[in-house]
This record gives sequence, C-alpha cells and structure tokens, in this order.
Amino acid sequence: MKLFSFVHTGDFHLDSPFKGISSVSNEISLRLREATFEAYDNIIDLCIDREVDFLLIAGDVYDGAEKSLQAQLRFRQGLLRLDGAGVQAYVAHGNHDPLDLWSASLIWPKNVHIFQGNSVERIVYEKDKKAVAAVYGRSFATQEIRTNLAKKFPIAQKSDLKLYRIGVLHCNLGTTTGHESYAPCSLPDLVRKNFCYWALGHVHKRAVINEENPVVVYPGNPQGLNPNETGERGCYLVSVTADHQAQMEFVETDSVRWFREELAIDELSSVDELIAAIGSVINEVRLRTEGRPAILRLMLTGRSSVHAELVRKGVLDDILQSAREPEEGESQFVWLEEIKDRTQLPIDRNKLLEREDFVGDLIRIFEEFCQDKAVRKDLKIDFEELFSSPGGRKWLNPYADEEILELLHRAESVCLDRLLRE
Amino acid sequence: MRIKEIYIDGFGIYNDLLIQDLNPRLNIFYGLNEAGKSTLHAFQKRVLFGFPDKRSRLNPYPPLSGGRHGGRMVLMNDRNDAYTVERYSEKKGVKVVGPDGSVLGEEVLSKLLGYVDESIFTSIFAFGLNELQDFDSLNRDKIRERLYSAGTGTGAASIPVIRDEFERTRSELFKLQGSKPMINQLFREMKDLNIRLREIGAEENEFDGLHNELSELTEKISCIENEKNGLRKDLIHRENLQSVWEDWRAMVEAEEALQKLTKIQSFPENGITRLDSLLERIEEYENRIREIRNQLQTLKIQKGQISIDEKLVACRENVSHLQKSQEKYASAVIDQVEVEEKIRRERESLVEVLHNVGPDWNETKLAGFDASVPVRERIRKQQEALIDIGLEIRDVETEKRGIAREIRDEKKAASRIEKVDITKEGLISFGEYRQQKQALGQIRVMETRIRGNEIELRHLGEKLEWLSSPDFQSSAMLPRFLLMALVVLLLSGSFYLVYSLFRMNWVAGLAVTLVIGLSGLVYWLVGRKAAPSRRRKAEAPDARISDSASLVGKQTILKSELEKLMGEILEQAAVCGFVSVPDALEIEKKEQELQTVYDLIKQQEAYQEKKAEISQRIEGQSRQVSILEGSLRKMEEEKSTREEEWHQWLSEQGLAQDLSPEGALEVFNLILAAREKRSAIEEQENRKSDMDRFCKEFKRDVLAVMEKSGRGKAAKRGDVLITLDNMSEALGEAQVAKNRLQGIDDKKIGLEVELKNSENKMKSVQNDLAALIKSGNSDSEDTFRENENIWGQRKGLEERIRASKNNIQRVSGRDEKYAEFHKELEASAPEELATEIEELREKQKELESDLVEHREERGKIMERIDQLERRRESSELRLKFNLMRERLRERTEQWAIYTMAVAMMRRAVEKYEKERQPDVIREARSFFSRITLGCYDNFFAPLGEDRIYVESSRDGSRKDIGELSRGTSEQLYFALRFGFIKEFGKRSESLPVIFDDVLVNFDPERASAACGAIEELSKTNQVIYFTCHPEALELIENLIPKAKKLEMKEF
Repeated sequence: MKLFSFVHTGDFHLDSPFKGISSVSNEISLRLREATFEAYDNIIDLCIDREVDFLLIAGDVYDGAEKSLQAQLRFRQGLLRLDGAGVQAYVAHGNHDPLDLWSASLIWPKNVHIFQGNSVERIVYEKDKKAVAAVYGRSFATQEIRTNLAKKFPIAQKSDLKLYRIGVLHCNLGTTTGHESYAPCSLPDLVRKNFCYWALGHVHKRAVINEENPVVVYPGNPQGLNPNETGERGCYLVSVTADHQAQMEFVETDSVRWFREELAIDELSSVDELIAAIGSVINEVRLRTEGRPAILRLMLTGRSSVHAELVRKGVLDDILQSAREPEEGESQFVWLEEIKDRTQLPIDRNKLLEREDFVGDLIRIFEEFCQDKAVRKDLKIDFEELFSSPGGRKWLNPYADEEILELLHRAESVCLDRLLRE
Repeated sequence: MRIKEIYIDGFGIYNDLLIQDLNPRLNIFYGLNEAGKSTLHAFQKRVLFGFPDKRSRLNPYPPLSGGRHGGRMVLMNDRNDAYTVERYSEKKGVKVVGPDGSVLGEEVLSKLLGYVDESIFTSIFAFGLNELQDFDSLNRDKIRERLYSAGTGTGAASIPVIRDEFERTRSELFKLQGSKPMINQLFREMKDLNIRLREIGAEENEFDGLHNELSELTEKISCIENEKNGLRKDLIHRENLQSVWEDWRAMVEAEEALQKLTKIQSFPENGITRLDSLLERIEEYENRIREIRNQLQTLKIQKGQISIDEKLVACRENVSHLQKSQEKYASAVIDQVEVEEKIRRERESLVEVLHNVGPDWNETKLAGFDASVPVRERIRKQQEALIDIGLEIRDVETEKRGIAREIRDEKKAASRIEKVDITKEGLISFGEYRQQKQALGQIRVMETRIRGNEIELRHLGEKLEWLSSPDFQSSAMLPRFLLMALVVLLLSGSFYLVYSLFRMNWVAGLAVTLVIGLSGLVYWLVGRKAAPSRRRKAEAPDARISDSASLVGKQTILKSELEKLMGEILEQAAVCGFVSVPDALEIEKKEQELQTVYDLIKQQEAYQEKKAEISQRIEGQSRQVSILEGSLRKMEEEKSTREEEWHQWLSEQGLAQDLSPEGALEVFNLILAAREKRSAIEEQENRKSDMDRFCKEFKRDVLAVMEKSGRGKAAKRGDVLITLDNMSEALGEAQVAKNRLQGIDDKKIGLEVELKNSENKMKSVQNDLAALIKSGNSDSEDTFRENENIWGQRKGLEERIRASKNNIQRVSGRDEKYAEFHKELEASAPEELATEIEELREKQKELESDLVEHREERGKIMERIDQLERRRESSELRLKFNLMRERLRERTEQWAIYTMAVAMMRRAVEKYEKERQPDVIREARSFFSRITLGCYDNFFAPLGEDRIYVESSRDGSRKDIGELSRGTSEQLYFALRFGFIKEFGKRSESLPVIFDDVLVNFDPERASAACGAIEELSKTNQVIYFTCHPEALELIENLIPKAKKLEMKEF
C-alpha cells in the first residue's frame, strides 16, 4: 500500500543555452531557449497530476554562471503552482546554483524548503498529521566545494527508523567521468548513513547506482543540453509503500531530444542518394521522438566516390540546407544541426604507404605523427598563431592529444582528396 | 615522333618547297641572315599547332612567292608509321592522314605531340636564344607544373598549387592581423556579445539593490502621505471657518435687527394678498348684480312687443299634412291632361286593329272571340295536315312524271336499234360467214405448203445445176474484193504506224493500226461466215454424184404434192368466191371482209338483246304509273274533306271563308293585339279616375283648414295651392314669434336665478373679509396692512438667521460641534484665517511635490524590476553566444586541419626536394655537369619557388642563378630543357627538338660539350638545328658526321 510518493529530479539548468550547435533558425532558437523551462514545467505538471507529496530537487536548478533572473523567476512560478496544489518542495543547491548566487529579493512560497549550506538539515514530512518521512539535505554554500559533503550527513537515529529517510545531495559519486568532481563521495559513504533513498544530482545521465538499502539514484537532467546528452531525459516518480519499499517510475520530461546518428556512405554513389539517405535517417529519428522536436547530429562515415563530391566547397552546406528547409515551421521538427563528414576516398591507405613518391612520403609523415605522441607535440607550435592570439587565449582551449590525433586523420584526408583528385 | 618531310605550299618567302627525307636524328639547316630559317622554324610550329589568330601580333608569314598559305609535314611515330599533317590558313583545323590513308582528327596529332601544347613546345622543344636567356619562359605555371610535378606521383595536381590553396583556406579562416577571416570575425562578435552579456549580468545584480531601494522609498512615501493628510485636515478646517464667515456676520446682524421690531403673535399667511383678493371679488359681484337687473328690464319690454295667430297655430298639423300632399296635387293636375290624351289615342288604335280583323268587328265581338291556345293549336294542326297532303300529292305527281319520262326515253332507244338493222340488209348470213372463214384458213395453210414446196423444188434445181457446173471450187475462196480491202486496210495501218512513229506519236499510231487490224479481222470473219456452204462444198467434193440422183427423186415427189395442193386450194377458193387461187393480197382482203361481216353480226345480236330489255322495263314502269295514280286520287279526296272542315269552322267563328289557316293565325294575332290595347285603355281610365278623386279630396281639405283657421273667405277666391302657400307662410311667422317669446321667458328665469346667487356670494365674501381683518389683529383694512408689513420684516430676519446657521452647521456639524465652531468664529478674524490658509497651502504643495518625486522614483524602480524580470535578451544572447562558440570550434578545427595539412605538405616537400628531386632535375643535372665540363654537378629547384640554386662541385658552394655568368646560366636552362625532354620522352612520345642558334654564347669547349649532349639527345629525339654561324655548323658537322646538312640558299 502506498504510503506517500515523491518526484526526484535535479540539474534543470534553467535558461541554460544549448551547447554544441552552430546554427539554428530563429523559430527553432526560440524552442530551444524554452526547452529547459518546458521540461521543468512538465515536472511540475507531473507532481500536480499524479498528486505526489513532495518534490526533491538535487541541485543545479539553473546555471549559476549565467545568473539568469528569468530562470529564478520561472523556478519560483513552478514552486508557486506546487504550493497551490499542496505539494512540498525540498531543494538542495549544487555547484551551478550555490546559495551565494541566489537572488535575495525573491520570496519563496511557504511549501518550499531550501536546505542550508553550512549544515545538514532534517525536515520531517507529515502526511495527514502523521510523520512519514525524514528528508535530510544540504546545499552548496559556494560553488567550489570539493569536500565530501556526504560525510557531513548524520547516521539515521533509532527514532528515525519508523520514517522513510531520504538524503538530498548534489555530489559526484565515485569516479563518474565527464563531470567535475564537486562534493566527491563514494557509495559506502552513503550506505553508512542508514538512509532509505539517496536523491542525488550532478550527473546528467540517469543511473540507479544502488537498487536497495539504500536506493541511490541519479535521475539525470530532465532536458538534454548538448549533442552528447542524447536520448530520453526525465525524472523519477517514487512511490513508497508502508513497509518502505520504493517503486520507481522513470517519466520522460524533455521537450527537445538530441540524437547522434551515423550514416555510412559506402553503398552510395551520388549526392542525391546521400540526400535521400539523410532524409530516411531524419524520418527514423522523427518516429523515435514520440511527438517532440529533435536535434540531430549526423556523422557520415565510410569510403565512396561521394566523398570527392562532399569535400567540394559548399556541397555539405547545400545538403544541410536541403535537409533543414522542410523542418522549418514544423512543430515536430528534426533539426539537423551538423553533418560531420568523416568519409574518405575509396583508396587503400596501405598501398599509398608503399608508394615511392611525394604522396607516399606525405602519408608516411602523417603516419609517423599519428604513431608518435612526442612528435605530435611539435604540431602545437603550428597552432600557436591562433591559440595564442587574444581571441584564441580567451575563447579556445588547447587541443588534447586525442583531438589532435583526430584532426590529423582529417588533415590527411584533406591532403589526399586534393592530391589524388582526378 | 620525328619529321620526315616538309612541304611548303606558300609561306613567307617559300613557295612549293619540298624537303624530303629529313634525318631521323640530326638535321642542320644552315643559312645566312634572311635565308628563311625563322620562316621554316615558324612553318613547322604553325603546321603542328595552327596559324595564329588574325588579331595576333605574330608574323603571319603571308605567301610572298605565291601558293596557298600553308603546307604539310610527314611525321613518323616511334613505330615508323607515317602521318601527313596538312594545314592551310584559310581552312579551319588540321587534316591528318593516317598510315593507311584514312583522314584522322586533331586528337591523333595531339597524341603524336605527347599532349604538349604550343607554349610548352615553344619553351622546351623549339627554342632560340631569347627563350634560353629568359628563365621566365621556363618558369610559367604550366611548364613548371609539368617540370616539377614529374615524379611526385600526384597526377595532374600541382603541389605548390595545392599548398597555396591550403594556405588560402587557412587565411580565409584566420589571420593574426586580419579582420575579415571567419575566426577573426567570430572573435570580434563573441567579444561584443560577451560585453553585452556582462552588462546584462550586471543588470541582474541590480535586481536586489533595486528591491531594497524600493522598500525604503515605499516607507518614505508612506510618511509623507501621513503628514500630508494631517495638513489637509487642518487646512480644510480653516477653509471651513473662512467659508462660513459671511453667514456668521449676516446672522449676527439679523439677530440685532429683529430685536428692534414690534412683536406680533401671529398674522394670517398671505394676509395682504388675501385681503386684496376679497375686496376685488366684492366689487366683481356688485357689478354683476347690476348688470342682471338691467337685462331683466330689457326682456320685459321685448315680450310686450310680440303677438301670435293662435288659430292658425292650432291648425299646424293639418297644414303640415297638406304641405306634404301639395306636390302630389300639382303633378296630378298636370298628369290628368296627359292621361286623357293617351286614352284617346289608344281607342283610335283599337278601332283600327278591329277593322283589320273584320269590318263587322267591335269590342263586344272581340271580347266573345275564343282565342285560346287549344283553338290556335287546332288551326296549326289543320294547316300542317293540309300542307302534308299537298306535299304528298306533289311528290306522287313528280314520281309519276319521272316514270313517264323514262318510258319515253326507253321508247326512243328502241326506235334507234331498229334503224341499225335496216341499214345492214343484204349481207351474208352467219353460216356463210363461218364456211368462208374456214375455207380461207385452209387456203392459208395450203398456200404456205405450196410455197415451201416451190422453194424446195427451186433449191433442188439449183443444186442439180451447181453439181453439174465445173468451177465450183473457186467459190470456196474469200471474195476477191474482201481480200483486197483487207490488204488495203493492213497497208494503210502500217503506213500510219510508221508515220506516227516519225511524228513521235506512236500511241495514236498504234491505236489506229490496232483499229484497222481489228476491222480487217472482222471483215475476214464476216467473209468466212458468208460462204459456209461454199466451204462445206469445198470440203466434200467426192459426194457430188450420189447426191444429184437423190435430188431428182425428191424433186418428182414434191411436184406431185404441189399439184394435189393446188386442186384442193381451188376448191376452197371457190367457197370464198375466188375464181382462181387467190394470192396473198386477195386472201388478206377476203379476211378483212369476213371480219367486217363478223363484227356486224355481233352488233345486231347486241341490239336485239337490248330492245327486249327496254320493252320489259317500259312495261314495269307503266304498272308503277297506274299504282301512283290510284294513291293520288285518294289524297285529293282527303284534301277536299279537310278543306270542307276548315270552311265550316271559319263560318262558325265568323271569319272570312277564304281565310287560310295561316291567315287565321294572323287574325288571331290581331285579335290578341286588340285585346292588349283594350286592357291598356282600361288601365289609363282607372288612373285618371284616381287622380280626379285625389284632387277633389285635396281641395276639400284645404278649404276645411282655411275654415278652421278663420280664413274661409280668402280660400274660396283663389287658387287652392296659392291659398295653401299663404297659409303656410303665416303659420311659419306665427311659429317664429312663439319661439322667440319662449326664449325671452327662459332667459328671464336664468337671469333671476343668477341674480340671487350673486347676491348670496357677495354676502359670503364680505363675511370672509371681516374675519381676515380680525385675524390680523386689526380692526380696519389700514391697520391690517400696517401689521402685515411688520410681520414680513420679522420673518425675513428670522429666515436669514436660520439660513446662515444652516450654512455654518453644514460645515461645522450640529450641537456641540456647532457650539465649538460658533466660539471659534467669535474668536477669529477673517484676515488671520486667510493668512493661515495660505501658509497651510504652501506647505501642502511642498509635500505634494515630494510625494510626486518619490512616487516617480518608485515607479522607475518598479519598472526597472519589471524590465529585469521580463528580460529575455540574456537567454537569447547566451544561445547566440553558444552558437558562435560552436561555430568557432568548427572553424578552428578547419583551421587546425589546414594548418596540419600545410605543415605535413611542407615536411613532405622538404623530403622530396632533398631526397626525391624529380627525374627532370636529375636528367638536367647530368647534362649540366657535362656541358660545364664538371664545374657544376648539382643544382636544386625548390618546389614552388622561382629559384634554382647551383652547387659548385669544387667547393660545394651554392649559387643563385643571378650569380652565374650569362653563358653558364644559359647552359643551366639548356640542361633543364634537356632534362625535361629526356624525362618527357620516358612517359610519352619523344618529340623533335628545334634549336635556333643556341650555342652562340657558349665557349668552344662548352659548345663542344653541348654538341656532345645534342648528339646524345639525337639518339632519342630528332634534332633540327638552325644556324647562321659557319663555325657552329663546322663544330656540329665535325662532332656529328651523321648529321644531315641542308643549305638554306638551295631552297
């Protein structure tokens, strides 16, 4: 029998601009700007529609660096709606929205509890005047918290054992890659606290780290924000039974979905065929979006004569344009944000390596650079011109070795395209 | 490829020049200046690559010595196949004739030329001193590409060009000092955007500060508003005091004036008005009473003047009755005359009608006559019966007459038939006719048989005669004239045919000949048919003797038969009345006669039949006539009976005996008309008696009324209507006078009543007046008026006091508040109040202004907060910034790729230059070393550079080309061309090399060395060397004895 239910979410990054796309139409730009808000509104709707008892937000409500007032105002609007529906909200701030970045002038509705940044707080949730859950939480007081905040949580006392114990924290659990190590902690740190449910935030990819005793969950972000955050995004609706069993339901909330697809050109013989194939990919993606718009990054791979066409100036742009045109004005658009051309000429590189001429020399030099990391470092000198310029210093990050390696392959392809052109 | 033969049709000074069998290796054309070396050199190039455009500045070498401008060359490929290449300036394109004589296209020539174009050929394969001294001629892009890319393995692509392209792409992406390249632009835009974003970020920081300011300001505004409210209260109070000041003063003054006036307890309301009103009414009543009395007096006098004829008035009803009948009487008097006249006329008419009926007819008889409908019907029936009998008699008589006529006609017809019989008397009888007819038939039959026998006998005679004649054979041939005609026809046909052939009209000729031929054929056939017997005879000449015997026998039989027939025919002829055997004409005549007799016999038989028929009909008709006569008699009897009955009836009725029923019916109509007239007369007579009676009664009534009204005497004297009229008039006058008298009486009564009322009312008003004066505490009208004046003044003052008090109370409130206010008014002075109010207003204005200022400020802050809350620019700009950032990332990647591509190419080029100089250079090096006699054995041509560095073999020093002597640099270029020619020859067709005095600047040693090189070159390429220097010629001839020498002056 259900005792109570709650929604676990976080990492809204409200009003955070989408990253990793280089061009969009005005109309689609508007949709993208609204995407994080729409996802947040979807969560509020979910809480109200499913009549949950409370909402847990595990940090990064907005992008602190942006300090978007809009984000704060829209966040408050959502909380006001919850207040109207009698849903409680417990908010623990994270590294993107530490307490010191919040606007002091905003007055929060009475249903909202924001955890302090200097100590762990314990809030008891009462249902029908009976205490059913104890919610522990702590916010980031400032952005730069590299200490283990999980350790600051108390071990649940005997008096609390009748209640469903929940910890709300924005942290980096274990060695999760791709995220900065704010408030790092380990699973044992969490297990030790004798909680029933750890509502975590920070990692954008959803993951149930521990299925029981305690349940440890990253719900992921409710809206993908860049080309790497593909697939469905949402939050967890958790129903707790009287014997403290948690039934978890993942609910999709993203309003725009990211896709990364690959298309091999080996079997294609003309640009027209390629355009048709891209059209098919777009339609497949549309079928998978379940009614919502999508942003697609397409990588072309393989070897075919079409490659020679693609490297010609403007051809790729034309293809991109032809794929985008029909999507303009569509409510369920699939915006092809980029076509990454990783195709190659239909040639045998090994044979080129054996050639005793200029081309052979060139490929061997490329090969040498690919193989030898130390030699690759020399290339950085060639990049100095741009990377050390005022703009470069400000806006560009030096390439990592693997990036240089990838660029080398592409440079080789560019050279061969030109040298071996018929 | 090599040149085997040159033929110049016309080019420059040359005309029809043929140079054959050129040496496959070396040919030296020797000639002094103006000998035509350049012309020949140019001719070779023109034939291979075409004539220059007419607009070109190049010498066109027009055919000065005649011939067509152009010529041909015979080229041999490596397999020794000969191709003739022919080109003329006036023709577009080139004509290439293959080894098998087939005409081929320009592509074959291109192939023979190893796909080099004119510029390469001129620079590398056919050059003179000018080209040799000009490095640029060797440095043109096309040549350089061919020169240096040989051996790079990059096909058509040129590495320097590719490198330039990459560099260009790089520069388009980014330039350190640039502003247009894409990355530079992005940096700039991102910087601007970032500044704007920072500004927006700062604006958002403002949000909290603004909220603080807002709350402070709200507090301040609230304080000022409180103060302002207090001030406003005070000001209103003082303004109130000021506003009632005038009322206050008026009230005080009125109270003082009131004290001074006499006190009166009460006074009737509107006393004076009421007093005046009452006095006015009294006066009105008095005047009215007086007026009524005068009117009564006048009425009395008027009444005395009126008198009335009462007797006449008493007869008013009778007079009125008579007046109604007056019109009727007048018209009756007139109608009486008319009716009498009418009666008279009707009587005359009646007498006339009766006279028409009968002379003895009068009204009595008229009344007794029965003219009823049954009687009339009876007459009508009688009339119809008589008519019917008459008609029947007439019909029978008509029928009878018709039958008599028919009998007459039949009799006439019978008499005509008898006449025909009489005219045909004397003819043969029918029996005779039949005998003759039969005999004639037999004569005909026998006659035919006799004629047949005679013909047969004649034929037998002829046959016997012919059988006995000797020349019967010749008659088997065609008649001679037929044969002649046939010959003539055929001859004329042939002639015409020949003639028409001559006239070229063979169709007509043929047609005519054909017609003539056909005619001949027909002629011949006819001829053949005409003589069948003859032919038959000709066919059987041997049966002649046996035939003649049988023929004689046959002849005898026939003759006896003939005689017998003749005897029989004579018998029959006698029957028919012929004395001899009749001939055919006689037989025909007899036949006609017999036919006539037969027709007459038939006609007579028909007459006889018809006659019998007619007499039969006449008999029937006579019987019918007698029957008709019987019935006619019966009818006549019936008719006379009816007529008798009629006459009897007429006498009974007293009508004329000769009257027909029709006339009787007419008399009936007259009687009916007379009866109608009689009735009309009676009716008029009745009417007249009615009128007479009415007139008498009317007169009697008038006289009676006159008598009654006492006017009897007057009535007897005059016309009754005038009398009545006069009486009516007098009655009318009397009636008017009576009515008038009645009116005066009525008016008098009314006036008397009014008089009484007026007198009563006046008394009542007088009582009211007395009461009013008394209620005003007065005893007279004057005192009443005085008291009213005092009372009015008091009321006015009291009202003023009350109004002022009300005004003050409206401002101050009542009771205690009023009392307090009253006190304040007593204590204050108007001037002081005005000053205080002014001060308060000033203060209020100040506060107001502060408030406005603060409110504006607050509005601005709120607007700003609202602005900040509404601002969407930030998210838009951040998205834009991210888009730019991504674009920057992409562009940077592109830039990095091209940077690496350039770097890698650079490394590869270095390696190539050091380790893999192209074969061209290598070949050139060996030539150069040889020509310079080993002084220089190495040089470098950096890829894509316009420079060549020469390395000294002695000290290894490198020299730029500018540092070399003129001769050495020429030798270097000479060697480079050798290198290219050799290298080129490896890949495609080796081409002939044309030198134009290139050894001039070489010293003898190096010239010798160069000659050696030329000799070596001539092993792979045909060499054509033009020179005007005898020493050069000598040198070459000595060194290369196999060379073919061609003296230009011999051409």
